[in-house]
Amino acid sequence: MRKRILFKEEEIAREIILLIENARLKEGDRLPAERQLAEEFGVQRDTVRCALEILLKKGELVKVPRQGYYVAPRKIALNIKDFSSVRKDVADIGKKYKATVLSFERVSLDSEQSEIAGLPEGTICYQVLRLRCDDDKPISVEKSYLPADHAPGLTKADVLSKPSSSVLKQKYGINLGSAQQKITQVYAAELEAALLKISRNEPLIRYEGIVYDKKGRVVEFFDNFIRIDCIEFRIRDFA
Amino acid sequence: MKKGQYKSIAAQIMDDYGSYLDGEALPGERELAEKYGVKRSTIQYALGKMAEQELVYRRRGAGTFIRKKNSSIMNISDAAVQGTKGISALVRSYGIKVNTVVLVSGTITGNRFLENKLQLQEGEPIFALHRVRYSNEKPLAVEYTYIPKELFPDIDKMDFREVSLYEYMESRGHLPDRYDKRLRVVKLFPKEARYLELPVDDPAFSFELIGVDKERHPVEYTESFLRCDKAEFRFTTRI
Repeated sequence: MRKRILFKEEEIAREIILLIENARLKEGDRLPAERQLAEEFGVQRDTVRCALEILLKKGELVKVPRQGYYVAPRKIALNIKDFSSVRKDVADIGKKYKATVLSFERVSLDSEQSEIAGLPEGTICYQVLRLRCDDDKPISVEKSYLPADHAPGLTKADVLSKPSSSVLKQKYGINLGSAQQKITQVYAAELEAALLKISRNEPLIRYEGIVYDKKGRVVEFFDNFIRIDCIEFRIRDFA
Repeated sequence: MKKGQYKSIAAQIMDDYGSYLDGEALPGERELAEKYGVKRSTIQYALGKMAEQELVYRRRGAGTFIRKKNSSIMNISDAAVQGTKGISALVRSYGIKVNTVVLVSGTITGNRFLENKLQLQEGEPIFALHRVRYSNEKPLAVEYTYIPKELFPDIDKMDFREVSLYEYMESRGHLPDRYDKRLRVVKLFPKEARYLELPVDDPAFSFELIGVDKERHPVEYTESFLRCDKAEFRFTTRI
């Protein structure tokens, strides 16, 4: 017997994703009842239920007890080819993506930090801890470090409403050149878990980067921990 | 030294010592030369190349040591962000042995979701190729790839355990040239967890990509799941 290539429930799940992508079903829409879906797709109710399970787990749908399935809030897509948009606070992504500065400190880099940034140990930096939320839902917590040499007299007020890189540009006239970035997966430690309202050891996306100015000097480096259910990275190299 | 001989020596060294822990010492150059039956200069050259690829590091007067942090974690930015290299070429460039198990392959029709992704008319045939990729005998990724059959009429005669998909696509004049990729971290489903030999709900990188050829025709749609402990994504953006 030939092996089955696509399972029926996976096909149904993808059909529903297609409806969402084509905006036939929109964020917050309630899905028709299982029975009705089964009729429309011409399959058993069990198959529909499996498909809905897949979509729940993929984060495409949310389930409200005794009410049914709803289309989940769309993920925020960060286009990593466009650095400034990735780190914008209230971005043009159709979402209220708001940053709160939790702390602002002058620190001297320890050996681990200095190795990451390629700066000498003991370099004085301003450290900004930011929590980004979508409405009330915490999405990411970011530590950003700005070497004090390039941003003398930086104050908390400067970074309250702007991402670090915009401050460098606007207040210090620094021309940003490039950013080296890295994406890995880690598990939430105590601080991230508390701030992001998740359990310890839940998986997170870690997004780190070093920002250079046009002269090749390190003017910022950042370490960002992001909840996996809110964000996707988009890498698109054709229009 | 025969041209390219160091490559197979590097691969053999990784086969034999790749499972060593971070910082563990390799045998001396003379011993390795005897073991593999090559000149000491070949061993030196191979180790030098491996050091460049950050698979090992060398300390003057002390010897050569396994560098685990980077060798087990591949930087797949080349494949993920810019390049057109397949996973197998990329993994091989790390001196790691790669092999492929084809789970199932064959032609499907009438799947609206895939027709939409590949911009096909209703009913046009699609070639499906589901593979598990192994590096050094350990699962690395599960890939579900879909290709418009019209452009590759003889695709079902190929044995993709042996033939690289991208080499084949290139030979038919339709190599993916640019991509639209989406990267997420997801919790694994039972099926993919089994292939990756991980517990259900463990995190994995999930890619969805559309590849277009030079004429901007979609030639590939792939969904893949990659072990998070095997990969990281690095990329540089101009600002």
